Amino acid sequence: MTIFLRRRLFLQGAGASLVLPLLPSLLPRTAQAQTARPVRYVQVMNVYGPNERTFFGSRSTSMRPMPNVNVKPLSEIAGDFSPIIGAAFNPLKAKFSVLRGIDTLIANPNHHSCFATCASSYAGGLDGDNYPPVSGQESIDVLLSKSAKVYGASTPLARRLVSLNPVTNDDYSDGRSFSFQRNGNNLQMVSPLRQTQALFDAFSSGFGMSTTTTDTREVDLMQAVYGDYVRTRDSARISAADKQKLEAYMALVNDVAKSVQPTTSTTTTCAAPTRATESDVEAAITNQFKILAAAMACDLTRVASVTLGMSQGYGARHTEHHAVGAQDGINNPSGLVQDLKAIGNRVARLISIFDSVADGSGTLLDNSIIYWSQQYGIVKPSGEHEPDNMPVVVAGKAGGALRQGNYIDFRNEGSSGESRGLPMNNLLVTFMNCMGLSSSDYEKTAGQGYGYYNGNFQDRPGGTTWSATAGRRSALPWFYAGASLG
Amino acid sequence: MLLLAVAGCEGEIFSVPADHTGPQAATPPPSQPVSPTMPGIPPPTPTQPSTPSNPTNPTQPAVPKQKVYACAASQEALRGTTHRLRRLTQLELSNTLSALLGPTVMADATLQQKLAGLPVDQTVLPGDFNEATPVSLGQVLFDVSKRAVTLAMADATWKTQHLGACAAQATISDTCVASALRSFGAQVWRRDLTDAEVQLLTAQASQAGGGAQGLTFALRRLFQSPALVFHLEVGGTPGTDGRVRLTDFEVASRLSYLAAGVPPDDALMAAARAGQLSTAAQLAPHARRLLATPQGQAKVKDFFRYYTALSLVPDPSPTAAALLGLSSTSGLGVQMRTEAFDFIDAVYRSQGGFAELMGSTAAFPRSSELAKVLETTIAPAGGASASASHPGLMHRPALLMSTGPRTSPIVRGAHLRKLFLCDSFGLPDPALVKARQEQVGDVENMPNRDKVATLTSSTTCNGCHSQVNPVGFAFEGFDQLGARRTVETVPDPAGGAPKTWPIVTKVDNVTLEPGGPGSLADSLALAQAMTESFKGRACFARRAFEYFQLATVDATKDGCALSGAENQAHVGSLEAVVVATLANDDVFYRSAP
Repeated sequence: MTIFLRRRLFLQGAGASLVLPLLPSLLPRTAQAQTARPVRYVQVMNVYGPNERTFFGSRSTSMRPMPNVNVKPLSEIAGDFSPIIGAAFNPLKAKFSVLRGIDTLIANPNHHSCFATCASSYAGGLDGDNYPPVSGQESIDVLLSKSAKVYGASTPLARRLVSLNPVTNDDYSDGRSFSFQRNGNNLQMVSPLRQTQALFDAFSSGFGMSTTTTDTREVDLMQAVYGDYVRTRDSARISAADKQKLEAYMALVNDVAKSVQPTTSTTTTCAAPTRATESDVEAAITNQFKILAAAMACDLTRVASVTLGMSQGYGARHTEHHAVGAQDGINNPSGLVQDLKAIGNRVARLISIFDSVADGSGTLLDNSIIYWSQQYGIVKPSGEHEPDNMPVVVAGKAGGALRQGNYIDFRNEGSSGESRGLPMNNLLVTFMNCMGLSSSDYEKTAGQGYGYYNGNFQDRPGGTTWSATAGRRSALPWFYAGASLG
Repeated sequence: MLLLAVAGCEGEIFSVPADHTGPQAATPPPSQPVSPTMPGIPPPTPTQPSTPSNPTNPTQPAVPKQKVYACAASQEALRGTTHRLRRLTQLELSNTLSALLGPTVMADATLQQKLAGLPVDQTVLPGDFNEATPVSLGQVLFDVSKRAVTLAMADATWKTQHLGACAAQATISDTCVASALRSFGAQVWRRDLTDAEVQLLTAQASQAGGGAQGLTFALRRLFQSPALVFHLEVGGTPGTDGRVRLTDFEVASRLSYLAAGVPPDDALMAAARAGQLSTAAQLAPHARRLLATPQGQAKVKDFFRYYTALSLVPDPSPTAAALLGLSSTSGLGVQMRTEAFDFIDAVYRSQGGFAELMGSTAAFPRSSELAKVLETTIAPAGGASASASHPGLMHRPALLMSTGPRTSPIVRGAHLRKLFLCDSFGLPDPALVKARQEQVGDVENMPNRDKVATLTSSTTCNGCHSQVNPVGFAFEGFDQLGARRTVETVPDPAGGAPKTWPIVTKVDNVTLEPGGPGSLADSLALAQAMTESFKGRACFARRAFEYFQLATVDATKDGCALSGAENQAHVGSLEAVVVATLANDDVFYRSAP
C-alpha cells in the first residue's frame, strides 16, 4: 500500500527545524503516485569492526526460502536486535535488514582490511591501510556517480558524489573514505568533505529561492575565467595529457558559470534546510544528514558516501580493535564497542530522516538504499579480524527492488567454523542492479564481475557459482526482488 | 604473522640505466663520527663491530659497496622530462592565497570556512598524489575570490600594499586600474604580465563599470585564473633535445613550491628578473633559505613523516608495559611519536648526516615512562638525554613498538627494510602460508625466534625471509614497547606461570646490501652497519625525491637528480640531500609537448 504524505514534514533538530522540500507534496495524489522517483544510494562506513555478539546478537532463523537464504523477520524479534543495532532501530524494523554471511574475498591473508565498497582487500604482503583495493575497480559509489544510468550529462560534477567524513577527533579515520576513483593507472582514495558549510555550499544554488538578478557582470566574469582556461589549454606549449587535466577543471568552471546564470523563475522549489548550532560532532552529523536528505529529495544528487570515525584516536582504539574479539558484547565497556553503538545510532538517525521525507508516493527511504558496513568482518576471540561475516545493514526498498524487514543469514546450512556465505561482490551487484546498472556498466572486462575474486573461493560450498559469469553477475537471492539485469 | 613466500620477493628494486658502463668504484664513506657535534649530544657508546665478509667464502675479499644511482651522459639529456603539469596542493593553494591576501583577510571566518571544503593532500605512498582537481574547487575558488576581494578592497592598507597607492584613493582611474592589475597580476601569475594580458584584464574591468567596481571583478578573475589552480609552465625556450628550458620566473616558482609550498618571494622574483637563477649553484642558497622558513620547516617535518611512515602510533601492549613496571600505556603512542620526531629534528637542525640519523644516541623522552623505556632521564627543555641502548632512528620506540602479545620479527624486519633500505616484498601465496602453518602445527610453545624460523624455513619461504628475519631477530632484544630485554616473557592467558626464554640476537648470513656485514651480534651492530650503508643513503635520497617531487622514481630519467642527492648523503648533511633534491639541473627543464 502506498502512503501519500500530504503535509510538509518538519524535523526537529537541536533547537531548530528543518523545512523539507515542498515540491513532492504539492502534487496531486495521482500525479504523485505516477511520478517515478529515482533510486538513491548512500553508503555509510566506519573503521574497525565488531565481534559477533555485539553486532548479530544470538540469532537463529525461522525459515529457509531457498538454499543459502535463512530468514527471520525482524518483527519476530522482541526488543533490540543486538547491542550495536539497538533501540534506535526498533521503530524501523520494517525498513531495514541485517545481512549475515556476506564474505569479502581477499588477497591479503595477513591483514584482513576490507573495502566493503569494492568487495576487495588491498594486495597481499602489504601492511598499511592507505593501499588501494587490489580489485583494480573503482568503488561502487564512484562507479554509480559516473554512470549515465544514474545521472544525466547536465548534473554538475561536484554534485554527482557527496563524500562526507564529519568526525575530527579520530586521527585514524580523519580525512579517510572508503571510496576509490581512477586517476590514470592508479586507484586513489576520494577525499571527503568534513565541514557542514562545504556540503551546504555544494547545493545552495539548488536549494533555490527565487532569483531575478540581472547582474550580467557575474556571467561575464565566469565567461572570462572560462576563456582564460581555453587560451591556456589551446596553447601550443601544453601537451595532450596536460590539456586533459585542464579540461577536467574547465568542466568545474562551467558548472559554476551555469550556476550564476540569472533566472526568471520566482517559484520556490526546494527550500534550503536550516541547520542547528554545531556544539558537538553529533550536531554536525545530524546537520549533514539533513542537508543530504534535502539534496536527494530535491534530486540534486543521488549518490553519497559517509565515513564515521571513533570518539578517540588511533592510540586508544587500535589496541581495542583486536581485543574486542575476546570480549562479551552485551554490556561491553570497551570504548570501541561503545563507539560502534554510537555509530549504529547515527545510522538509525539517517534512516529515520530519510523515512520522514516525502518522495513520490512514499518516502525518500522507500526510494533509497542505505548501506552500512565496516572495515572488517567479525573479530574472532583470538583477536584476528576476518574478512568473513561482514557486518551489513541495508535500509530502504530501492523503489521496490529490495525486500526489507528481515534478518537474513546467507551461510550454508551445516557450515561450521568459518562462514560459508555469499561473496560481498554479489551484494554490491545487487545495489548496482537496483540503480539500473547491468554488467556492461560495471565490468572492466567482460565476465569479470565486480570486485576481487580470490581463487580460493572455489572451496566454498556453492563456490562454483561464482566461477561462472552468470553467478558473478547475479544479485543476492531472495533479498533482491527486482529484475535480473545480468 | 606475516609469511612471505618467494613467489613475489624482490630484494632489489633499483634499476640500472641501460648504458651504465659498470659499477661505480666503491668509495668508503668518509669517517663520520656519530653525533659529536650535536649540542648536548654525548658521544656514542662503542658497539660490536659488524663483520663484513663474503658469505659464501670468508677467505675471499668482501664485495665492495656500490652507490645505486648514476648519471650517465645520456641521462643528462633526460633531466626534467618527468616533470608534468600539476595542480597546486591544498596547502600550496592556502599558502598562495595567504601571500596574496595577507593575514587580516585570510583570518576571515567565512573565508576559512570556504577553504575548509577542500580536501587535504598528504603523501603516504610514493606517487599517491591525486592529480585530479577536487570537484569542489571551482565553487570554492568562486566563493573565496568573491569574499576575499570584497574584504581586500575594503582594506586601504591591503590596496596600497598589493595594488599601489592610487588604488587606495576614493576614485580609481583607468590608469590606476591598469597599473594595479599589472602589479597584482604579476603576484598571482608569478611572472611579469605582457601588455596584451594587462589589456585583457583592463578591458574586463572597464566592461564591469570601471573604477573600484571594475577592478573588483578583474581581481576576482585573477583569483580564479589557471595559475591559482595549476603550476603553469608555458613560457620557456624549446630546445632540440625534446625539452623546454623554463623561464627564470618558472624556475623561481618551481623551486619555491617544491621547497616550501609557497609562491616565490620578493628575493626570488628579483633574482629571476636579474637572470640570477640560471645554475643549480645559484638556486641552492634560495633552497636553503626557503627550507628554513616556517613553511619549509613544516614541509621537512612532513617529509620525515613520510620517510618513517609515522603518521599514527598506537598505544603499545599493556601486558608488556606491566612487565616493565608501567601501570598504563595510555598516551604512550603519541609520546613515542613525538620523541621520534624530536630526534629527527635534532639531527636535521644540527646539520647531522645519515650516519647521525642511524647512529646518534640522543634521546628525547618527555615523561618518566618513556625515559624508562629508553633507559635514560627525561630530556631537559630544549635539549637531549643520552640513550646508549637506543642508537639511531631504527631504535626509536615508535618504530619498534607493537600492540600484540608477542613481538613479530617478521613485521619488524620487513618494516625496517622497507623504510630504510627501500626493499619491497611481494605477495605471499595464501595457500602456501596456510599449508605451512598446518604442516608445522602449534608453534606457540617455543621462543619467538624459533617459532618464526620454524614457520619460514621452507624453501618457498626462505627467499624473502632470509632477508627479513635477520633484521627482526637482531631486534628481538627489544619488547613491544621498544624497551630492552634479555628474556622473552609470555604471560599465560589462564593465569598460570608465564613462559620465559632467553633472547638470542646474533644473526648470520645477513644480506643488507652487497658489501655489507655477513653477521651481526645484535641491533646495535645493525645500527652501526646502517651508519655505513650505501643502500640506506640511496634509499634516503630516493624518498626525498618521491616526497618533494610528488612522484615515483624513474631511475633512468631521474638518475642524475637521484645521483646528486645520493652523493650528498655520503658527504653532507641531511639538509644537503634535500637541497640537492630541489636545486639541481632538473628544475630548469620540462618535456616539450
